[in-house]
Amino acid sequence: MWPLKNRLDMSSFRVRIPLLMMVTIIIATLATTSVLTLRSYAESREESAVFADAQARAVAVNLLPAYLEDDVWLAYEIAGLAASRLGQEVQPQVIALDRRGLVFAATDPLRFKLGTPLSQAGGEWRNVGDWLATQGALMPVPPDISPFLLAAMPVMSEDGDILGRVIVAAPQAIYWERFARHLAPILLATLAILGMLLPIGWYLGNRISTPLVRMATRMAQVGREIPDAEQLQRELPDSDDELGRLSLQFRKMIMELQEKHALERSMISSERLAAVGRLTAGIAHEINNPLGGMLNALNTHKKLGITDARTEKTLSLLERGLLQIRQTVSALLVEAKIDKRMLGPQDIDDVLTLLAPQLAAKQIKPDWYSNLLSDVNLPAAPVRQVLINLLLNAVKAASLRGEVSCHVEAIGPALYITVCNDGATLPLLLERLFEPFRDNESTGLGLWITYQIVRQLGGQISAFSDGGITQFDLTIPFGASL
Amino acid sequence: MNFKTRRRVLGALLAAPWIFKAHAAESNVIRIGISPVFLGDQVLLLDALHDYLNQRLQMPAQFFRPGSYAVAVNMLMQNQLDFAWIGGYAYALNRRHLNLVVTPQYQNEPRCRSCIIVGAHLPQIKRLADLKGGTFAYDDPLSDSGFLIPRAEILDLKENPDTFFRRSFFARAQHKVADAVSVGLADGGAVADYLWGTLVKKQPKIAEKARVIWRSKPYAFPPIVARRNLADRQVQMFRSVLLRMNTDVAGRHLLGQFDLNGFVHANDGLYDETAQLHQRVMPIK
Repeated sequence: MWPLKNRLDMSSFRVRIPLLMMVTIIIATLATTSVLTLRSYAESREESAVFADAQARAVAVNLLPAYLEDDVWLAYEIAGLAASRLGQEVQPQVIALDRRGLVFAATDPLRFKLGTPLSQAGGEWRNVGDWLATQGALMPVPPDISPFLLAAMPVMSEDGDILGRVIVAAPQAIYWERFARHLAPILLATLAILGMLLPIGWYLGNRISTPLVRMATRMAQVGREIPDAEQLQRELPDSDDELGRLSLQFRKMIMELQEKHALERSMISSERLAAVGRLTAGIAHEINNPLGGMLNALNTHKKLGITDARTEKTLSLLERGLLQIRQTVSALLVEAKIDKRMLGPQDIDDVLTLLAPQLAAKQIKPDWYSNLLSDVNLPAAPVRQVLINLLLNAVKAASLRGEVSCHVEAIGPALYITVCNDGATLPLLLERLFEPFRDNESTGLGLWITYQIVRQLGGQISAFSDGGITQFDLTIPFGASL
Repeated sequence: MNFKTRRRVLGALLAAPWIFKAHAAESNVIRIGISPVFLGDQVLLLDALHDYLNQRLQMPAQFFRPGSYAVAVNMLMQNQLDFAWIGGYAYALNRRHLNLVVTPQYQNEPRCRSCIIVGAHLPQIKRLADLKGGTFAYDDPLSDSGFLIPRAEILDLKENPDTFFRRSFFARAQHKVADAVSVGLADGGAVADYLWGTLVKKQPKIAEKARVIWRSKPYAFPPIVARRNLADRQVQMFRSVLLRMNTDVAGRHLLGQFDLNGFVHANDGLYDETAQLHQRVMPIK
């Protein structure tokens, strides 16, 4: 439909609107996801801290018998158990310190050696050890002291004596592990939402841009040609929004343009026909006057008596030639015969009777309709001639066993005649259809005469030929006369 | 005491729970105490021993698991147990209140040695003296191989056993000593060569993480004893069942599982040496 280059033209709404829609959706979704992610990160940290705190509390209680019995191995086992509960893949350190702040037991005994101060473990533990040494047993360890998530709890005997302290140190990976568990469903939901919204965004964007782009394309055609109204109707469907109203107005404009164009064409055609009519009438009159003189002279000569056979033969030849000229000229002039009889239903039936041989020859059963019940205020002879002319043409053009129809209807102040036939489409430009001797045909006076009669009766004649149907529509107002 | 109860509950949570095949309803049962100090928690093996004794004794046997040798000795002295398998040192200290029933034979001797083991990650420690200032895991205060003998050896180094190590503790079972050393909780520990031998066979993964740096001369093997006031008839009956154990297939199979050759009715004098060691290590001040 559009070449790829045009499709990717960033200045076109075709690309920009859907792209904007999608970008908006992506930004909105990502913003929501980021908020959720940040929140989930904070929650994971908090959860881990709370959990580490609760674990430290529980370990402190569980470790009491080990402290009382100086059972290092039991303390080690309890610490290990607590650590395995805290994290699955990354396990935290659980360190039990005695009353003097020396290691009593630890999950990593190689790092936290028994009977050594915490600071001997090195690294950030130096800070933690120093900090703990200056603080009370119940204080939580602030996060800036250590990169670990630390929870410290005193181990208290039943009478409230502090026997030592338990430190649960969760590495960052502990809450990253938790965070990862929270994050997976958030990311999945984001992808699902994007997967759902992006096609919708693209579709909606296209819905907005497509009529605009089509309108712009059609608008651009206007200078060169007039777009087809029916195709526009398909391309720019009605809707109540601004776009719908815009396309409606556009279609109206196009239709008005089309009407104007058609009017212009018909005016040109009428003017030409009128000019041709005036010309032919002028020529015919100019010919008729000397012709009448010549024929009179011949008549007078005949009345005076024949001279000799050769002269008579010559004169006879002249007379025949002159008569033929008169016949042709009178055809061009379309002079109505003096006939005052009104058009009645019988005239329409007569036409059918007259056409019967031609119809029979082509084995056509015409679709014949007339609503005339009584005489109407129109001269019978010219209307009969028009009907016969059109129907002879129609039968001639119709295919064997084809269709020919003739509808004659008196509706209101006018007589409407429609003559149709199947068969080949008229090859001619319709605006030149009614001109005499069109395409250099010597006998092509039928439609010219028909046109002249209809015009002289004050009526209209139009024709169209398309899709195997050729139709002539006539409107002749009552009361007309030649 | 309250915390002891709690500790027992905790112990049950941490270790595989021991289910007694008890016949509490029967009035006449033989109550045997086997402390986990020496054998650890080999539940299946103790079950098999229990089944074997139930079949051979004329009355049902009931097993108890005193947490330490001291508890076992106390239970015997308070008539709460009829027989118990206790450390040689625990027996040597309480001979007046106990009857020696049999002594197990390990590698055809009623003796075993104490071994000092260190973590495999400490290659620089080659002898006991290198452990000075380190951490050490003893097994039970009434164990000779796991407490008395290494302390005597420290004395021989002209050192004070109470301050020789930076930190020492009782793991309360020989296999826990091995565990503590293998994970690095203690730099070194003391176990019986009997325990080390079974560990190498049955749990090579733990044994791989430790190595023996010193072996003592052999001392009397932990004996099976009876309370002094137990009827002779019952002592004889129990002793004869144990002495005949290596004469039947099931008994031999079971002994094989324990890595023992059988039981002997040893002279009480076997434990004199242990008693003398006590005099030396724990003099009356």
